Amino acid sequence: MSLLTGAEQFGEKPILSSAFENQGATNRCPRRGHRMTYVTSPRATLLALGLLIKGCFARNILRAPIRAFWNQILLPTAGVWFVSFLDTGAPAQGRWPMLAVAGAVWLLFANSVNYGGMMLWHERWLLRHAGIPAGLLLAAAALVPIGLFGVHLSLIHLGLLASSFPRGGTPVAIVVAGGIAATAGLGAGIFAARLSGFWPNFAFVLPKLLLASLLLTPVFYRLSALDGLKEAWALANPLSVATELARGGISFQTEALPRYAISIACAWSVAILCWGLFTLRVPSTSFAEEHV
Amino acid sequence: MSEPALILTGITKRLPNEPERRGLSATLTQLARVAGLSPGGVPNNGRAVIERVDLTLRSGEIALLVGEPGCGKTSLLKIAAGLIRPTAGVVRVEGGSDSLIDAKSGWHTALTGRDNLVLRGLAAGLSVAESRLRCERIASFAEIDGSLDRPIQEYSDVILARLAFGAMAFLEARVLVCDDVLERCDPLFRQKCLALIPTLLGEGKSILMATHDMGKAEEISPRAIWIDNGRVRIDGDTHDVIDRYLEPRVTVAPTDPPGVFAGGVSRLAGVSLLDKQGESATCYFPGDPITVAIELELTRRVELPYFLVSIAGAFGPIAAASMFHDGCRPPFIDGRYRIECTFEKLILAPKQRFTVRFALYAADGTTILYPKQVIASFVTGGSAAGCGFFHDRAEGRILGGPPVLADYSWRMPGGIEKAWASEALPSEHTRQTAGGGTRT
Repeated sequence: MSLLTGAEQFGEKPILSSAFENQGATNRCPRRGHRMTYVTSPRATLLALGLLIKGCFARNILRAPIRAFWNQILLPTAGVWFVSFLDTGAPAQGRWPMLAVAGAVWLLFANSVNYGGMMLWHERWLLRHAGIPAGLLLAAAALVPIGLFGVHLSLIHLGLLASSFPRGGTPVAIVVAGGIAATAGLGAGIFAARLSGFWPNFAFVLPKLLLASLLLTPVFYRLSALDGLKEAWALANPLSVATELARGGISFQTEALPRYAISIACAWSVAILCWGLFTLRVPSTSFAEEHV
Repeated sequence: MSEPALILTGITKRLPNEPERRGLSATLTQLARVAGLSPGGVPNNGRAVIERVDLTLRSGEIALLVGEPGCGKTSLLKIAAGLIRPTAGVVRVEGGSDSLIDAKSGWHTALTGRDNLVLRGLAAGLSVAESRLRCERIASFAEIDGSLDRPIQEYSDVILARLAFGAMAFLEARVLVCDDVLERCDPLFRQKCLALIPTLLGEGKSILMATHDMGKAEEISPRAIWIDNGRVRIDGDTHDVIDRYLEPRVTVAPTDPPGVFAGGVSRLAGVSLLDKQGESATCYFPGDPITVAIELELTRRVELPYFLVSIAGAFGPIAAASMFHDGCRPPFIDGRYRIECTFEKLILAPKQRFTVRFALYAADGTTILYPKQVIASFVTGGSAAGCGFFHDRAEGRILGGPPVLADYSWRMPGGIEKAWASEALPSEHTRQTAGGGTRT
């Protein structure tokens, strides 16, 4: 039996067919009884992705622009300024850019959880329909935190232009740091969305967990402050490597990371993302299964 | 004969038998399931909501699912639409499917109605230009042209249901799966949707649809499927299926396990529907007195409670006995308590399904001791002709009409005044010879 949509009548390859086939044994419970088949054409997929990106930006930024400006720009700036103000030697030693860039990396992680993976929970009604695959929504949602990270970096560079901070380092390090934070955040966000599907109150606990992650990440302190725990923490928490890498992207004042720490952090973050995608796939393709 | 468009083979859906457990081990089990470390399957001894259903729908064919609430219609529709996985079985769809099971599903809340329709068009495999074109058509059909550029979160459920039906009908899906959403939330617009069905079938689309509107069933579809306790009871000609589905019968709810409601204060220990002689009823004819006998088990003494018993038709309550209104309250209830409520003369239309609902409130009138629940249902016996309706079209049934028969008259130049009066109801002898119903 053909599994194609009627879009072929219009001389265009179909993009997302809702045709599917469920395979299951008749006398036992299959682990995977459901398989959705999406047939895609690049142009239409891109257009659908564009609309989803528009929706994600509208939801997170345009719906409440003042709140977004406060959360994403004013509050972090005030935080950096306040911590630098408390540390009287900070301006002289040029510490604020180090704090700002590490904060931007953590914010990328937090935004990837909140605006990325958790979009699956926020827009769960969209997924309770066979038309839109979760992966496409996730790809669109991932662009919001990445865009915000770009804004944060631009502001930091504008600040650097106006200051006497001795600039250095390699921009590639910031890209790697951003990659680690974004992939880990997306994976954690998917997992958080799945958890919210089972326990809706988890969505309210999430901000507190993210705040805890800020304390566990060397943003307000350097990795070297952990002394003996430094190596173990660098291997266990990919965000600690990401923040140090980001600092190395704008300055020569970098700390030596343990051997293979960057590779291990990359592997960690990719593993978290893959695990998130795996959890999304195995129990339920959409978010409908829990609401039979 | 046309090609099959939807084939369901051996579809079974099971849910866990036990209620959701709490505690550390249950939390860890769920956590493992969320983390993908446990398959989270339902064991074979789980409660079957759908049991080995086989169904084939051909191109240009429509089939109606009928059955009592909770019989598994919506679960079957969700499986057919690909929204939930069957525990076992295979679903095959030709040419893509679209569904209207819940009006809120399938919409991005931050996008406008227009963007959402274009998105669904793209998802259905249409080009951008074609999606935009059909978007206008859908908006015009759904009568929401003016608000198409507002975010979808501002739409009411009724508007969303209209939009969802339009999207389902005018986009490219060949198999349409539709629950009774419009029946519930927008009965007037539903007429417009029903009028569109022949056109959709003419385009080769197939429709699987659930309904509680027996009056329209024969007009909508020549084929109906009666789902009973998750199984296909009868699949055949709509007239025959409805005849069997609306055979007079009385069904009472099973009793509650202890501690279910209101912290275990009250428990339904027994329900029975009684006839005129005080015996368990097997069938009610129009005009028969209906007695609802309820036995409660209470774990503590309750002073001056409020009892509420109501009878509801397909579209809501039609009569109620409420102590909130009559003020007739027992001084206290305690232990095992039996109460009977009789509706002396309620002229219910023949061959319609009714439910009996019950609720219990404490003396303050707000504390719920037993939440409003359907405790019994019955299908009335008799026929339209037997009740004194003589026109040809009323020969068999009064379906889709109001559930209560009331005396009424016409005044016209011709001089006929009285059109129907309750004196036309059959005598006791006629009722007894008409045949009894069944009790389950």
